[in-house]
Amino acid sequence: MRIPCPYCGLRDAHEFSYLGDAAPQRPDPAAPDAADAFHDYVYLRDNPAGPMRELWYHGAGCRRWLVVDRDTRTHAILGTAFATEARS
Amino acid sequence: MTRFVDGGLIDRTRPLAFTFDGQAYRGFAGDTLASALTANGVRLIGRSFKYHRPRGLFSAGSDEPNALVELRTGARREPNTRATTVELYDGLDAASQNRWPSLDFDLQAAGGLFAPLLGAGFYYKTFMWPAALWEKLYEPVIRRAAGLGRAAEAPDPDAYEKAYAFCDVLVIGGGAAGLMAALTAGRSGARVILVDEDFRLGGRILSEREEIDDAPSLQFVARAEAELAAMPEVRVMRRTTVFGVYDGGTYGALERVGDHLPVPAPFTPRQRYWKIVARRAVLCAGAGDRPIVFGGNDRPGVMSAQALRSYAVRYAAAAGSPAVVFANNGYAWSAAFDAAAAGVPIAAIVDVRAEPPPVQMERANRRGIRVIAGGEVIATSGKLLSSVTVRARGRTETIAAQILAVSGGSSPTLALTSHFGGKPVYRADIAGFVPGVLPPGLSVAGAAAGEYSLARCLAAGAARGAEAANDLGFTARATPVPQAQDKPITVSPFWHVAQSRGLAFVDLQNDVTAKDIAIAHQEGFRAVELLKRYTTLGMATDQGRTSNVNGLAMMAALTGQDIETTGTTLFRPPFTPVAIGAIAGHHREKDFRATRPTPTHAWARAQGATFVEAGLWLRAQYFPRAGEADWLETVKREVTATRASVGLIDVSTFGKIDLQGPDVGRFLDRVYINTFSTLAVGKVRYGVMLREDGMVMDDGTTARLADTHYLMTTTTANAAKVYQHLEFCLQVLWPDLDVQIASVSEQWAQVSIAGPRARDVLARIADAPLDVSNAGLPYMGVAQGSVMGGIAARIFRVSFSGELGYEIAVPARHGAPLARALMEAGAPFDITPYGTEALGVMRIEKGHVSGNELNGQTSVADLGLGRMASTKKDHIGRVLSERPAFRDPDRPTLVGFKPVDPKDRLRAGAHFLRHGRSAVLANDEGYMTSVAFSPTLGHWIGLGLLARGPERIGETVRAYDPVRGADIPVEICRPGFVDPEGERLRV
Amino acid sequence: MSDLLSHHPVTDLVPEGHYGPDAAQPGLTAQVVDGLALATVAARKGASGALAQAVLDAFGIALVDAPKVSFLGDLSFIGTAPGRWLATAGGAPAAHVARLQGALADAAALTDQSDGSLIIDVYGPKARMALAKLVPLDLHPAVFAPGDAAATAAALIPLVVWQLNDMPAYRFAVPRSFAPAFLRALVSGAAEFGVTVSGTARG
Repeated sequence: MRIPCPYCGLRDAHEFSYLGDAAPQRPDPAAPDAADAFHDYVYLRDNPAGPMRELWYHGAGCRRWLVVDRDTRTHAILGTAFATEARS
Repeated sequence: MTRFVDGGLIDRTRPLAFTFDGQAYRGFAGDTLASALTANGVRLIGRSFKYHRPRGLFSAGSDEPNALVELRTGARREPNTRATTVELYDGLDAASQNRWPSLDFDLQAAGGLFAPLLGAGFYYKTFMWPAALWEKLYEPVIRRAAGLGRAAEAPDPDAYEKAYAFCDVLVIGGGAAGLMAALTAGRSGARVILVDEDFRLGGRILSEREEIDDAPSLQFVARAEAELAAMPEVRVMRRTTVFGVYDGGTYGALERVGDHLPVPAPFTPRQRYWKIVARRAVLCAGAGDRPIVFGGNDRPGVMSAQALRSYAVRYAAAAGSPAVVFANNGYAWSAAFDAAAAGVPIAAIVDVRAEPPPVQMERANRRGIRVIAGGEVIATSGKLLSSVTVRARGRTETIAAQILAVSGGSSPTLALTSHFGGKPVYRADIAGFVPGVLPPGLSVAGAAAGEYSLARCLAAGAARGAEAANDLGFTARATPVPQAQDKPITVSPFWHVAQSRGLAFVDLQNDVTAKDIAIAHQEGFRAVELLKRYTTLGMATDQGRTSNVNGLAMMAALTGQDIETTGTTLFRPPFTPVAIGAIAGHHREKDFRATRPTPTHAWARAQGATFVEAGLWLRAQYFPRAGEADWLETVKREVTATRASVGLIDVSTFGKIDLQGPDVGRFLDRVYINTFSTLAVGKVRYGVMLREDGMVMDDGTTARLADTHYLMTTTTANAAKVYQHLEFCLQVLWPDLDVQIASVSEQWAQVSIAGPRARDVLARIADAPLDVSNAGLPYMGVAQGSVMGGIAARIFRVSFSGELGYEIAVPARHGAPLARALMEAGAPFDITPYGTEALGVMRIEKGHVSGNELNGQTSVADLGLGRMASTKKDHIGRVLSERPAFRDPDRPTLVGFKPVDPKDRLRAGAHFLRHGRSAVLANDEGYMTSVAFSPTLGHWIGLGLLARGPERIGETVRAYDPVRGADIPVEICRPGFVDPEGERLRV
Repeated sequence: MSDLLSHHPVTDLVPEGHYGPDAAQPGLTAQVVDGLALATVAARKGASGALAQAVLDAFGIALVDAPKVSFLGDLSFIGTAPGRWLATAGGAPAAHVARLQGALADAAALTDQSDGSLIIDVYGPKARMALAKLVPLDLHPAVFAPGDAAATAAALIPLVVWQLNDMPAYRFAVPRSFAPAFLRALVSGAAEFGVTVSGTARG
């Protein structure tokens, strides 16, 4: 698989490490339901068959965290962005 | 001799000597091992996998199921090489395999002794019961009976390597279609790679007597090769097989750089593993002949019609005379005509079709070849084929023949197209499967797509090549296409002579017979995927290239379904076997992975150090001296000397991360459980960081060098992981923070000195005005200055050993000089270099946690560090570390241990049990994490995690270690056996 | 592993000398370059523009925020990540860092890396073919040209590479502890073309 890093260009997937779903946002630790919210944040994940926004780390390149849109059925990469920009 | 007097693409001026099973033979340059054996009249080449049946050549290409041989000897012995793809070289030494005592007389073949036991699903039923017999009887018997070649028993002396290539258009296969695709794309200026598994381009053109543009087709090949060679952006790779298609236009290919030589040329590898990234690819892999299933169809001498043609035309050889052709299609007739023209007498063409096309009949008549229409071969005889029995129109006839050339039609070589899950699609008009849904970016041209005539191959190659280039923005034209024959496909589906005598083989390599298919049907394993696994059809190294279609067609006939509904199994990478050595490439033995030396490595080596791997690093483990009996004695000396005076160790392997920016303090407060924003400039603090699930991730000290400048250290093991974590926090969680980080692990060499005389040593190398006095540089302080007369240095007053200690960091190039300077400065105090073993002993004596305790399953409370956590702020892992289970007082918690009998040895991994309790999981109270012999105390000590440990100081429990047979009483004590109050640190 | 390097300690830089056929005409040279100072330059949050201006003002270099080399004279900024460069110059590390610090401290975090990496130049007519066995990048001149840079991993070794000229010559910044492994991998593959190793004796 090859991932188009927005900075480095197309690179082999070996240069990246995978974290998982990019959707979960770190909850407010001061909220009254923080314990439950953190449990879901750390442990609960969807496993969609189809397009998914995922976090990948370009550890052997620019060391940027990326949000990669990937179709889990075909490995087709639909788009990539820096995590700093994609999530802020 | 069975070599024809002239013809063939062999160089008769270059004879090559070779041996097969010890017998000397001669061939020519341009031969394969198979063609050379054929030319020498060798017809028996191997024994079959299960039944040890004599086998000869079936094909002339990489789809060969029978002729697997051991190539070379000694450390270079390579089993299971296909004689049909082995390029002959002078001195080649090959041997048949899977036979005993000899190829000619194989005892295990006697009477098909094992045949009744080894039928379909044999391992699911025959040997199921009693289970006890499996290991002792069945498996050894089967292993001896069934098998392939023997691997070499010595390390492979040759080199292998990996390489990367990039192109616009990858053309797979250098036959008519592939050459046109490469030419067309190449002419447009696209970067083209043309790959062919053969050592000579041309594909089937090499084996057929055809014309292109009214001239022998070989002239077309020569012109195409010359034109491709002249194009700077075209690379032609012969002897290279594309074995897999992967995501993102990545193709795996194996180049046999030195396989055609006795030993690879100097400084070159035997094989090169290519990762080819191609924006488009055109598969032009051709097609292979499909056998027909009938009794005795595995006898040496039974081969594919195209193989007969290939040996006759390309290699000017035939393994006997005359030949009978048995077919259902016109292409096989062409093969017979070409073979006849090359010099093989054709006794008859037997065609299952009652009325073959008149044009074919006319061609046969013109050549004087007898045709038996509506005929079937029902038996063969001879250990090596001597005759075939034919039934036609109710009459049977036996015809003397040494070759029976069979063709049940063509099977497109489409394996690569199904590597992405694309199911081949059945086309009734050509009685074969063609590629279905293709991998992205890949198209198929020529025979691989079921387009068989030479004219269509040329045109399709040009068209697909042009499309690929045009897709990428080049301007390519698919015309003009050279002129060639465009004979129609004439084939009448036919798979199996049901009424025939003897074992009828479907899968020659795995010895799967027609009867096995019937058994699978009878027992309900009818779906193709079940059929495959139950009978092992198509599961051999050739992945059923010559057998899958017949097998599923026969199953279709048994179930009454059509072939389309029955479907076919998929091919997986690799297309042909790939040696593990090629996949490893450079990364074997000492180069299996990078070895990282510390800055003082050469110095430590000169001191006689023994080294130990710590991840990729090599660290000094201990420094033995003459006269020391073992490592334990060495380590005792190192610890004792350090605690008594001063010792030295390289700690450069710790991860070091430079953090700058106005928000670093705030950032560290969120990353560590304790507070760093309040740390004074010039101070160091020990910190623990958690994962978000509340478990400890890593620990280390972090110094504040300036108001907005911190330096973090991590454990050696977690350096990269912590860096990645910090980047995650900064980029994903809190992108608003103004913090810049940089790894400086490699920039700084860091040497630790520890012991009561450490300051005396440091003072001798510190440059003025650096003040290393207790007041000038107190415990947990950091000073920046220079040492050794002008070398920039950072000095951290920290200690892992529990002694007065300093870590001195200098730019890495000065690491070894620093070690030497410290040794010189410490000489009056008998400074002693120590390694990771002594370091480990001292940290256990001191009660510090390390990798054994930071194992991903421990919380800060478990490690006795709960009080460190700040309650005034949030940090990663805080919320989940407050879950009830984390606060369970029964959680195993860190304490120290010493044996009740001081002579007892402690063992890490021992589990704790209360006295009198049985050793079952329910009674488990925790386990010993680290142990050491303490030279300071004179007995073994340990750290461990024990339920309610801190409440039980003074109690004794059992340390139960069934693995090493120990069960001893140990006393629970506070962790921290040496200087528990830390007085030595602060002097 | 070939016999070529099997007798050299894996912890040491490959000794100086010629490896492979035809010593008169090496296909390429691998040379450890001494005397180059290195520093990481990382733009402060929101200060990319200010940093570019400061670099232009102080050094006359138009800083490109991409995997490219921006240079004037012997001062080069090699893009390694968004808002991040490896700045190289001849001379002593302290002077290099001080010079950058003086001009850029308000807009960037600066970190001395002069000892963090070994600089290894690989050049010669066969350099591209030899590097095809090591670097997972397309080094075709139409794709990767003088002035192009990349942070990548070769033979499992993290590194930064940039092209100096179209001889071709490539410059590698290899983490110091990985330099022996890097040279082993390079020389093993390059020996086919004849490779001369120099500058490793001082290691």
